[in-house]
Amino acid sequence: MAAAAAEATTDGGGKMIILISADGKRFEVTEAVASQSQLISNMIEDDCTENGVRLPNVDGDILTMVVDYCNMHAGDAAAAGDTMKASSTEEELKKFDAELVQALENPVLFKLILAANFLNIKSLLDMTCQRVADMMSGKTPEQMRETFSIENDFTPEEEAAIRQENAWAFDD
Amino acid sequence: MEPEQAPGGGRLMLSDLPDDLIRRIMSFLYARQAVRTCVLSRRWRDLWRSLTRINADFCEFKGDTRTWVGDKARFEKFLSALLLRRDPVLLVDKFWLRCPSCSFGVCSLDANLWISHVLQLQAPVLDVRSVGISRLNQAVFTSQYLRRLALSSVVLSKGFFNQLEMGCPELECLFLRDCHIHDHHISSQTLKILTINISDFSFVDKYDCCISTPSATALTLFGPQGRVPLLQDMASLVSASVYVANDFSNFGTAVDVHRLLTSLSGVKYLALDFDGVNEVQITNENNMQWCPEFIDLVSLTLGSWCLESNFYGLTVFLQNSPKLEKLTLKLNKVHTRRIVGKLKEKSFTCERLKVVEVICIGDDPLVNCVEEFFFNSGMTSLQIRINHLDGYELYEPRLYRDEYRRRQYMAKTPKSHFFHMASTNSLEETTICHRCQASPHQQAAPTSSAETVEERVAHRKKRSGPKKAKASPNTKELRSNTPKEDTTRNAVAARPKAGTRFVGDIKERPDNASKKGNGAHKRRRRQTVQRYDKAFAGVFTSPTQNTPISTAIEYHPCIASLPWSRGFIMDSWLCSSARATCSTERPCDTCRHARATGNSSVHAHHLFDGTSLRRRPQRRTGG
Repeated sequence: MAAAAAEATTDGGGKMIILISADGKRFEVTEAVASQSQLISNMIEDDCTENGVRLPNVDGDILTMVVDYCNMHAGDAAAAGDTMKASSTEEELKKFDAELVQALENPVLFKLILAANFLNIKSLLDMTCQRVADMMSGKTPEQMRETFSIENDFTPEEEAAIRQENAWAFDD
Repeated sequence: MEPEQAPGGGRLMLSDLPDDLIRRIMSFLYARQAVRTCVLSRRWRDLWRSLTRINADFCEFKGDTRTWVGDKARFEKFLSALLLRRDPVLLVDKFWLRCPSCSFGVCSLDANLWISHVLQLQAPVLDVRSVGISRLNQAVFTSQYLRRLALSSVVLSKGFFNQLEMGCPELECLFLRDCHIHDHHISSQTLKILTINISDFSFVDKYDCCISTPSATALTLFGPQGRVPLLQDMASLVSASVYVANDFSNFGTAVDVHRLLTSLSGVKYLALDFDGVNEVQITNENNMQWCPEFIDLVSLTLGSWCLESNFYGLTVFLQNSPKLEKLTLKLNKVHTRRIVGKLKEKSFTCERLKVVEVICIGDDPLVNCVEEFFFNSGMTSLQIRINHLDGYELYEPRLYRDEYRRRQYMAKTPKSHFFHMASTNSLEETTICHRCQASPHQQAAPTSSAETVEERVAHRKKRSGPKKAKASPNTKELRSNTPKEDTTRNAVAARPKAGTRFVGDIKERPDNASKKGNGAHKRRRRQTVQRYDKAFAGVFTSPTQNTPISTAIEYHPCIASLPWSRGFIMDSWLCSSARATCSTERPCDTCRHARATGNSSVHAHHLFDGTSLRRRPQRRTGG
């Protein structure tokens, strides 16, 4: 149905790919941008992107973020060989990345992790996982349960037994 | 993989993520924190056992007990237990270890064991940092799976690189930082990326250290100390970044600029900075000869040294770089007069030069001169980009800035806050990793995907056990005696006992660092250093010595005046310097010379001389 649009090319000559989110939002991105996702990159190789790529697991809001991220990092991947690249762009990218994940609420962050995992974008996945790890680190188990709403299904005795078993990691 | 939906369409929670994603998140935690998640709930109970990335950080244990030796014992006990109890079938994808240093001249037994253990588990990425200089047994570096190796604050003794070449035939990326290089030949046929930062070459006797890595495409040589190594065989080099600093241990060492540049002349990307290198003399006679022709050079980054004597260095470079497309000038305010000369012919033709970027601190008047220089040669203002930075961003690569901040933070922050900072640091590292992995030289970078692990598991199962034992008998013990773990634990706990004898010495460490409001961080660091120093006093002692020793700790005046950027890197040195022969009243010859010449530094040999340290313990009266 979107064949014509998908075949459209930009001024730069790069082939355009249409991504369709679960709620039907459409995103037009260049092949270079989209192929940061290993999933889509494989699909491009197999030539099955003509009718747009349906991503039933990814909401429109999340896909907006993912596309933003890929757009920012598209140039980065291309210029990765140029180690003498201007530091300013590198700093900008870092700032962008930090801002992208810092402000997110937990559920959105987890959705982003799922999307990154599904689309197989390693750098985004690492970045978001790192963010969650940052939120975990420095917290006691109780604080962690609270932050991430983890239900403690141990009885107090069981928990004590586990602490005892792994005492080498708990002695303060 | 189908992501799980939150039950009932509610808010997505951490518990809704599949196990392998949670493991991925956990692999960004430091090891103890990761293990401690076992009490969260039933589901989390054994997740830590299946982590394939282990980040063991001694700093996580710092301040656990009141003594450094006690912290060290805890850490050793913890890591040995972790390696014993994790799922033995799973291989290791990455092992990141920051271990406490050992006494001078003695191998750290545990560290060697751990490293050799994870290498048996086919770890492709190994990162070992030492808090204070450590020696490792070079024989542990035997693995046909190791691809990336990073070592920090480690002594690389003679034969190390030979061992590395023989023992690790797949090694592609070597990263050395703050290492003491005793080997006079760094050679490898397989190495693609070589980075040597702030490492000391002054131990290489008689000859200069030679580097020959014919397959290397990227080379970074940042601030070599003592001597500047010779680059011998760099046939495949594409990008190079060389920074030779005005280092205190580089006294009187002339850098052979011509030789250095000639070996780099084939590169496409070059960053070159001399920060006030002593004795680089370019006389008028060999005017043009010091700079070879850079035939393929596309991108060039130079420091402000090239602007001296009317843009002499810059002009020579431009004259010799016919294909140059982008020029970056990093201007610092400390101008040096090292490479000077006069040119008869000042014109240059760089037809392809499109962009000139100038990075400077604040408003540097030199920028205008630079602009004028390029306007005169026919460039437009659109092609010249000016980037104003503030402070030290210009000089220090991100890595060191972070490390500095982290240390500063550790010195003044109560333990509970420390984790966050530490993990921010590790975020930086992962960012760096991404970049490395994305770079074309590293397409074959190791991945942590499940397939690879499975593949390797299968492969490993095929390989017989005895072979491992042969490579390292110690590891066998570590791996195989899970049922007898109590004895191991006892052994591990008992080992540092020799050191705990000196706890008495350490107890009066200045513990008031945190109480004293917001004094200058320098003072805090100093206290930390002193604290360490006392701890080291115990560690340095040989087991045969029965009397506890104490050391006259006088914060060395020369160290105090080191620029901050050096000071923090040299923490390991500070301990030894305090024990060095000289004091404020009676400086030794080297330091006196250093002060007389206005060079606020101490000689490296003097600092690192481990033997002299042990010779000078003062008997403690009544101890």
